[in-house]
Amino acid sequence: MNAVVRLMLRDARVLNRGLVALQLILPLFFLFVASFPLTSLIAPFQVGGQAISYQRFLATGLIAQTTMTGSLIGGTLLFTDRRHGMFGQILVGPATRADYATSKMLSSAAIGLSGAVVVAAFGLPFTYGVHPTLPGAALALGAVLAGAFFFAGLSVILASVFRSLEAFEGTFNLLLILLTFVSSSLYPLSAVPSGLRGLMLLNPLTYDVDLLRMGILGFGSPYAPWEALALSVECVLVFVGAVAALRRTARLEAA
Amino acid sequence: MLAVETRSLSRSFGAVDAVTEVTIQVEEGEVFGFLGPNGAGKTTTIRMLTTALPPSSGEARVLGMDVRTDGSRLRPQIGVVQQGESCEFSSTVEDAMDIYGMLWDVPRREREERARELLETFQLEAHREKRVNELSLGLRRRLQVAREFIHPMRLLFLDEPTVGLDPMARRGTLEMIKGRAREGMTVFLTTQNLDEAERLCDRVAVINHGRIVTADTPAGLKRRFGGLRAVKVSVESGDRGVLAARMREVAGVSGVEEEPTGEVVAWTSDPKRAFDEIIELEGQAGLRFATVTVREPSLEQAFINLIEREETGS
Ligand SMILES: Nc1ncnc2c1ncn2[C@@H]1O[C@H](COP(=O)(O)OP(=O)(O)O)[C@@H](O)[C@H]1O
Ligand SMILES: [Mg+2]
Repeated sequence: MNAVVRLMLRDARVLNRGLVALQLILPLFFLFVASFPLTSLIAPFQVGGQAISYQRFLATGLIAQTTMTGSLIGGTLLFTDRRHGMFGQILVGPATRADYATSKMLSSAAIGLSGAVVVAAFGLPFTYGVHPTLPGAALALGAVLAGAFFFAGLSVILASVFRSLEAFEGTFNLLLILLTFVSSSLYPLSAVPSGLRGLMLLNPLTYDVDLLRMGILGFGSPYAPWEALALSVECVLVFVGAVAALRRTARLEAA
Repeated sequence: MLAVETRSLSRSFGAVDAVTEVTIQVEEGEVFGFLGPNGAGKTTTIRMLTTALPPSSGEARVLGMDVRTDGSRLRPQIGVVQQGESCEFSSTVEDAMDIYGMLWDVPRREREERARELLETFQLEAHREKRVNELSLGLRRRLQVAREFIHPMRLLFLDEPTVGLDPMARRGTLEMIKGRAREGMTVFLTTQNLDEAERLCDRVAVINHGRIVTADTPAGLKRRFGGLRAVKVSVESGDRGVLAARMREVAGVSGVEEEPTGEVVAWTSDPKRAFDEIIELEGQAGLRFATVTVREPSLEQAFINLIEREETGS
């Protein structure tokens, strides 16, 4: 069996499943509690030339958002490995640094993806009546995959930067909230003052959410190729960053 | 082939020279002990040999492979028990063991069987279902040492493996190491427990302030650095004062003491000759001996003498 697969199996076995489940509570809460009153307050609005109910808009936004919350848990895996000495032990064992880095990225992405699948199972019924095309479904899947990958890299970078778990967790939670509000997951870009829009366009979650919505809800946007390009570029950047961060961590641990 | 071969291996941290020009050779199948006081450079050496830390200069080959360039080929053939703690804190003892075996790609059947044996040898069965984070420090150390034996290896590095272990666990560890060494595995261990080194090691090297002071068999070290040997007489009848006076006359005896236990002890650098002459004293002046024994110096004494000599620069 391949070392990367073995490391991922280990991640699955040592993972704090409670923590993963906890990350699903907020999106599900939004879906089943907050979305009803919000939808009664917010009239259907226009996105991509379609009128859309807030519930439908929110449900799709939450799926993408879960890739972010889930992936970031992957960072805690790296963090606990460092704290408990397993990082150093594994690197003098049968896995290379590259195996380790790859496995952590893939594990984080897998956690993000599985979270998204759970939220999709509950959220997609809210899009009842929409019939996504095959390319649309593929686009949505691609967006979720890219998002999971991006946030996996981000979590690995964050976990390598911090020395204390408390600082890591504090920053991590703050970042989650900031990224959520500075994205189009809860409200459409058009409703945001233009000053803030620039900020939202830096956030990969915005692209992740937009592409997912286009795929599932079937509306077109002239920006789609650009959004896909931006998300891809951000994925590449974060991957390079994550590999560098892990290298640096290994070097620091060694010295 | 040599299992470990270093030439002028050195490592510094900023201005601190942790290891300086260490040259050692460890034969395959040997149990090699690396002795030295705290801060001597034992851990730094092991970390270089296990590819965790790049050397500043010098060379090191482990199982014929260069630690600088052949790390990924070398690591699958060695086991490492690091000095620092490393555990799967959130798993149970038996899961932690199994996960470690899986990481090493030991087939499930085999690792289940080995885990059972190891938990027994290291007396961890009673704790098998406990979470690792509920264990005491000593039990966690036991688990860390035990799990390393779950995978096959040609060479095992252990950095102060028995620190924090109780006597039973310590014995389990030593038995395990001995057993695997008999089957041909090479062992490189650091320790500050000289008794352990004496019982376990074929050869030892002493390191102090980052430099190798000497390398020898435990017996050779004792012979060379153990200092004076004691010839002890326990008297059955007769005057101990008279005996002490006569023993002082024996050639090569540098001092005599009457111990509170009733024994009379002569210190000498030539125990064979002193022994023969002291035996001859029986019968004189009504002396009768119960036993006459020669006490060998301990490795510990040799070690202390050696380090003290180093420190005073004599
Ligand atoms: N990462 C490090 N940074 C700075 N100094 C270190 C580091 N590791 C070890 N040292 C220093 O190197 C010397 C040897 O340490 P070490 O190899 O741990 O000794 P030992 O294991 O024999 O107790 C000590 O003076 C120690 O303080
Ligand atoms: Mg040490």
